[in-house]
Order: sequence, then structure tokens, then C-alpha cells
Amino acid sequence: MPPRCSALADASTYQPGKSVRTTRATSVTHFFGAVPLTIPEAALDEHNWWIEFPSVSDLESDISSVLPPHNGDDLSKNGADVFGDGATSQNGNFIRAVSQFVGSASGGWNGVGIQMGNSETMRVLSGNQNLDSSDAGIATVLNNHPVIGLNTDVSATFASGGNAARALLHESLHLKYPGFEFTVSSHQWIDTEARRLLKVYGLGDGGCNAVGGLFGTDWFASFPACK
Amino acid sequence: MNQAPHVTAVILCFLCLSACGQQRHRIEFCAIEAGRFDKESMVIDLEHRRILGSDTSYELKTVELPFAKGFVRPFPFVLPLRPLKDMPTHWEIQGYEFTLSDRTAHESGWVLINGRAMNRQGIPGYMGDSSVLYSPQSGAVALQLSGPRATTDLFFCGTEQVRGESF
Repeated sequence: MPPRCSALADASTYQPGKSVRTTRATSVTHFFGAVPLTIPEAALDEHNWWIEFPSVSDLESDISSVLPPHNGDDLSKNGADVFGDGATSQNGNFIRAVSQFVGSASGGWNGVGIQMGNSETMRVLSGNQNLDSSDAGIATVLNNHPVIGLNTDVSATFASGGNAARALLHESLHLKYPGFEFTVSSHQWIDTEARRLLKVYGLGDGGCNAVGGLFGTDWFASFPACK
Repeated sequence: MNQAPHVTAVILCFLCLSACGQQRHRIEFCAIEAGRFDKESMVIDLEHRRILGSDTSYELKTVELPFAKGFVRPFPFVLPLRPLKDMPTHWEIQGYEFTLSDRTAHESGWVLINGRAMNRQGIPGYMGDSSVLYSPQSGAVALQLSGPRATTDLFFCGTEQVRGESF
């Protein structure tokens, strides 16, 4: 049975658990893990692409909550503008796809851009802040434009769609609730809310645990990095 | 002759100068909302014109009047440049309104400077309206932010170094 996300996937070529070889496309949907990724034309070269499709059960379990309300929708309209040095990499396309789901579920990005770069880029983006190497993301406002920075050096963010969605939701909430980062308890609330939304949106199982929590808790943890 | 005390003194002076040098550009407010173990500092990075949190960074929008100086975003924070007796009790600048507490309070040397956005809509990253406890002798020693979406207000202890001239 093909996935129900007909707007994203070419159902005629879909075979659960099989690779599909395409020879021509202006855009193509690739499934990393169980999350579909729409690759823009610019990212495709003239050669063939091998595409791994997950099993229907994996796909269904990861996106069952988010897709039915958007059945027939073009989720790509809900993607954020992803830019920066890291945006041209595979991780960049990964984040583009995740942002489509997060944007669809949360009501859109409303002008929030996603800048991807390494730790040094994040340091500059944050105003020369001494970020920990495990800091996955940062929320900032540049020339009145809200921007989420994602650190490409933190590999855990890109290990699953849920991890990436959690980082995006965490930083989005900082932009929605500015000032909540200044106490441990309110910052914890931000991350708890991000994980809650992750489940509500059907984008993951709650996300990974934060790095560096005291006695295995979220206290003094580095949000929203993943272990 | 034992040179150790001199070497130690030189090192301490160097460390002090290094710290003081940093302090000229970075002002740290500590959150005291829920006790000593519940604080994450807010840093006003004057050199780079930013407010820094643990994983956030907001641009300062600085403002200057003949009698006061500071910034209005991400929250209103403008401090006197003149003696309190020469300050107006109400002023507006770039859509933000400031009020100084009762003049009779001037004798105590302490005033509350309240700042608010006259229209909060459409201000990305606006942390909220502010109340600053200020004296010319001590500077801004306490800051309260009442966020538009905050479930609780945020309180910060300040530093004696923050004055209008700081900006």
C-alpha cells in the first residue's frame, strides 16, 4: 500500500522496503528514516538517484498524526527558508523536509528562517557567545527577522526527524516566548513543551534526552542538544 | 629578596584588569525568579549590541535622548544621563513610553523607571515591559520584565556599573 502522502511521494513507484531508481525528476521525495524529504531540483544532478523507502509501518508510525489533517496538502509550502553554509549539504535538505512537517503542524513559519552552519558560524550568529560545542541551536533576531541557527557539528540533530523537529520547535518557542531562557525552570518548560508538541504533531516519540543534565535530569542540561 | 608577593600582585592586577576590561562591554544580570539554583544569566553585550541568553541572542535597538540613553528592544531599558532632579517624569521615544516614579522619591536616591511598548504588536523578540530600580550612586540594581506571553514575571539582580553612560 503506498503512503498516503500522495502530494509528496510518487505512489506509482513506491515499494515498501525497496529502493527506487529514478532517471528524471524536477523534484523527488526521499525517505530518510521514516520521514519523507522533498529534494529540490537544484539538488539533483543529471544522474540517477537511488532512493530508499522505509517500511510502511515505520512511515505510518512516524507521520500518522501529522499527515491525515493535511491529506492532499502540499507540505512544501510550509517549509522554512533554509540557508547558510550547511544548507547545501544533505543535512540541509533534511532540515528543509523536517521544517515542512513542523511548519504544517504548527501553522507556518511566519517569516522565521533557518540558518545552518558549524559551531563557528553559530558563535558569530549568536553575537560571539561562548557556545558549548554540544549546543544544537540558537534563536536570534537579525535586522528584525527571526532566525533559528542549527549547528551542523552536532550530529545528533540530524540522526532522526524527531531530533531535528525537537530542535526546531525548541528554538521556535524561544522566539514565541522571549525571555523564557533566563531561568532554568522556564527554559525547561520550553523544552518540555517542544517535546510535547513533537508528540502532538506526530513528529517523533518525544525526542532525545538533553546533554549534561544533573543526576540524569534536565537540570543544567544543554538545550536542545541530544545525547 | 622574595619576589613571590610581587609576582602574585602583578598577576592579580592583570586578572583584575582583564575582568574589568570585559565588564566594560558585558553587563550581566542574574535571574532571581525562583532561587539561586534557578538562574541563567542575561548578558548585555554592549560591544556587539546584543542581549545574550543561554541559546538566544537578540539585537539591541539603542536610543539616545539629551537626558537619557539605553535601548528599547528587546525590552525598554533607558537610564538617566542627568541628576534625577533634572529628569522629566515622562517621556516617549520611538513608540516606547517611560515614566519615572514620584519625584518625592528622589530624596531617597532611588527611583523606579518603567518602560513599555505603546504597541507590542509586530515587535519580534519583544521580551516585555520593564521596571528598573535605579539610583545614581548604585546604577540599575534590579530589573523586572513583564512579558506579553510570560506566565510569570522575570526578575533580575543588576550590577552597580549600569548607568546611562554605560551605553
